[in-house]
Amino acid sequence: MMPTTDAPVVELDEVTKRYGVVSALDRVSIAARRGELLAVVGPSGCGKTTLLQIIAGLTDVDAGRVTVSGRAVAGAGAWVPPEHRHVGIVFQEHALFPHLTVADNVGFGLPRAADRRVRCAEALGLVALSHLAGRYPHELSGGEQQRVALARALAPRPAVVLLDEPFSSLDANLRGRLRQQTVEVLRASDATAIFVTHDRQEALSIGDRVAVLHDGALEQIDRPQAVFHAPRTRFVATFIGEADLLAGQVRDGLAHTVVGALPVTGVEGDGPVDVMVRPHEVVVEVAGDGNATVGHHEFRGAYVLHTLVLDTGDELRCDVPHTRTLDQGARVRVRVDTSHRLAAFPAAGRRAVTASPTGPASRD
Amino acid sequence: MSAPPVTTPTSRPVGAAAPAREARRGGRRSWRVATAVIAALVVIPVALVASSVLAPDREVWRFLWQTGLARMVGATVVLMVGVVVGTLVLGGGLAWLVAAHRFPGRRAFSWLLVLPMAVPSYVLAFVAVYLLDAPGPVQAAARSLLGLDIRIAPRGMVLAVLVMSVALYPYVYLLARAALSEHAAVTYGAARTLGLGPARAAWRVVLPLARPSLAAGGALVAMETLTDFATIQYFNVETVSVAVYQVWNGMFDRAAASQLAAVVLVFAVTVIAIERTLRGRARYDQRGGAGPRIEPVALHGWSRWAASGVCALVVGVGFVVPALRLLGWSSVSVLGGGGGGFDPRYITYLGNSVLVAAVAAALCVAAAAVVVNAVRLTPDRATRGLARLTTIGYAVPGPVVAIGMLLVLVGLDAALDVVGIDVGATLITGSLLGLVAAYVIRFLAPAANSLEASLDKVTPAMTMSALTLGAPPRRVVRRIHLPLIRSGVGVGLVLVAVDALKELPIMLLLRPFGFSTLAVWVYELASESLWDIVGLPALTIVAVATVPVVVLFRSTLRVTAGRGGA
Repeated sequence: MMPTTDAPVVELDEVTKRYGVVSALDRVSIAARRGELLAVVGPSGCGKTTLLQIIAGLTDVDAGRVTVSGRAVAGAGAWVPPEHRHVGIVFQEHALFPHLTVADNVGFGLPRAADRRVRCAEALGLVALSHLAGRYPHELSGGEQQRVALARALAPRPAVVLLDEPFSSLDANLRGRLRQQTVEVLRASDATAIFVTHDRQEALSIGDRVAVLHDGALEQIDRPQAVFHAPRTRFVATFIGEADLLAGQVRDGLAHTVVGALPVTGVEGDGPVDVMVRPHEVVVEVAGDGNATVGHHEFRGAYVLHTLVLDTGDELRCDVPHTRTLDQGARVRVRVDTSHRLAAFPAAGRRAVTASPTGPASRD
Repeated sequence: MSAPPVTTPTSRPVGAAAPAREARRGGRRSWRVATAVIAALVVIPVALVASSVLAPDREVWRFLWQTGLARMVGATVVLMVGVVVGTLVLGGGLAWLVAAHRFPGRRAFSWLLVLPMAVPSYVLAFVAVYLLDAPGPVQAAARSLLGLDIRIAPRGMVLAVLVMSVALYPYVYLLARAALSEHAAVTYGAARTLGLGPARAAWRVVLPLARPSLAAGGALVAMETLTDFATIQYFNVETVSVAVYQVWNGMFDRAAASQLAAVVLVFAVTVIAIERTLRGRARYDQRGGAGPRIEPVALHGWSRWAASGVCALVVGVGFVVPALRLLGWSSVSVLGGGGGGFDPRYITYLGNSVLVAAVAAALCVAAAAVVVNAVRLTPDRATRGLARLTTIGYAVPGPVVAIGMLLVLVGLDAALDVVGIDVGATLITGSLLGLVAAYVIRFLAPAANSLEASLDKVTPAMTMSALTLGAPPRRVVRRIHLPLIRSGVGVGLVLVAVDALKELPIMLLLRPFGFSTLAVWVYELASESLWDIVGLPALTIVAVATVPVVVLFRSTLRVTAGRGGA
């Protein structure tokens, strides 16, 4: 990971945006640090795109403040239109200008100065497309269009680059490779980037930090590992990876559950809790006197996701290497890997949980 | 892509390059203000006419009542209802026939049926009067065949309704075709599989689905009928619009003319209210071509030839016969045989027509370009509302627009007098200003529609990309929007120019003294039955008006080929 300084390039302070009675963003505070790649992730309709539009100046805020490079650009009476914000944007559909060549597209945002051509060539070199400078957008492949869009956004050296699901219009094979290349380009140009996606894998794999949005509210913003292992809310727990919640009672820092005592974090004091268990943390062995029955399974390639029905009626999912097979209906003993503390949530908020059986789908 | 050469640009110092805040805001404000000015230009004349209802002049109304206002209102209602029913039957029926049936010539008729749109109703009217009049070929043939002495004057409401229905049905036909190609196919298919025959399925499923489009088409026809006062004068039908013309042109009675125009406006508002009610909450679009199409049923035996015959009859009466008749007359005048020979006034009036059409087209497209770009660049509710106001002129009858513009000019004249500039009556009666302004009001909508359709191809993301790359709105419009909407600009220019060339009522009311165009000349010559001279100018108008009809609708109305169909 690149070192980042703490000076925020973009700062949203309690930003609220409503469309009619619907809150697209509800008092969201996010700061992107210089040189950082911040991934904003959430299900469709969570407000991610509104967030980008507010930063870019394509939408005004209803309340709160936005600053870019320390300058107030929106909120509290301030307003700077998009063309004066020095914010670059890469759209999902790339939005290249169809009547301009690749070079003219990339040069569009550059002032008419002596070094315009130099900077244009530099930006095209950054995405390794110098040889296509004379082409028109319709003569490029989807991946090439995406790289041109990135070069065009980076060419004027914006304070921050916003990427709005830039890979979702590309097919799955191309996506992974292009994602890595894009990260390399952003790092090489020392750009600060805010990257919006609905794909949790994408968010976890490229974000220096990950911000999880849900229904217009910021649920958590932290390093990918922290968001994955120590989700602050039930929504983050189930959205960012597959997770089941097991009921338990906390006594002296241990949650006593049907699968034993588990070390937990995230709750203070004793009382009823729900413990988050991810499928890879579940250990299972065949045992006639076990505590669960094997339910249905789902082939995932390298491993097979099994659903285990505990004798209490709770369900727990479990990753099993594809070399092992567990027959449906077999009796098993279930344990949970206790090498690290598991996230737990006070049971009082239990009805707020809507842990879907398989969790939100990842596109990868 | 290998590891790229590392360049380490630093962020541009943001504050330094930023211009003053007023200037930054101003980039948007000027677009909004321009839209507001255009909206005001459109709304003020209509509002002035409307306000004259609120301040009724009892003397004027007594006079109007004595001169037969009740009779005129009655005639207006009968004419409008008659023409709307006629066009709905003709346009809706033909659309259904072509969309859902296979018969000889179906592909060609699919777009040929729009051609009558190119013949202005006042041209169709005098050709009909000529053909049906006592000395004309129809009665002459009847006399010689039957040996009877028939002499009937082709006048009256029935004939007026028939002629206007033939002239105006393409509006309904186009909207009905669009409705049928959009969503009817799937539902029609579903109804058929549920056991309904073609006719019952059409009646119970397709007709309700097409209702919003039919209502919109009917409203359009009603507005055109309300606008007209030239066509129906050939048939001695007197509507309120005729009265507006007579009161203004014969007596220059501004008060009476504006009160009468207000009555026309009441009719227009009623039409819009009825259309809204019939449309309900459904929406209609004029998109052609998309979606699955109704699988046409093959007609057999006599009915297939009857279908071809009906289509041929309508195209013949609405386009071929008048075009041939005009061609005959103009060959006489051009070749210098029999009648008057070539009239040199043709050149002058053609020049005037071209001038007015070109200026109107350029202004409408320029205004439309401002409005559609303003909506794209400043997508706030106020700008949207103002933009919508700019296109209401298309739904306001010509006489209302014209009289409203007169009232504006009178006010302008008075204001100039106050500040000590005396321009006499030239502003009101001697300049093209009012005429051109009225044309802009009336024809801004078709220009805006074609530009808007074109701008739809420029995605919002493209506009946003250009803005975030630092281009101010003016540069975004010049470098991105305009180059990409060139085709829409072209279509808009042609549509408005042709409309303006054909237009008669506004021209008759607002033309400066001594200024005449082809349309006006045609109207005057036909009133005096100078057939040999009227041929060439009328044919010119029809020929020019045919161009956009063919260019625009030939491709969008294409039906599935011969057998099978996709």
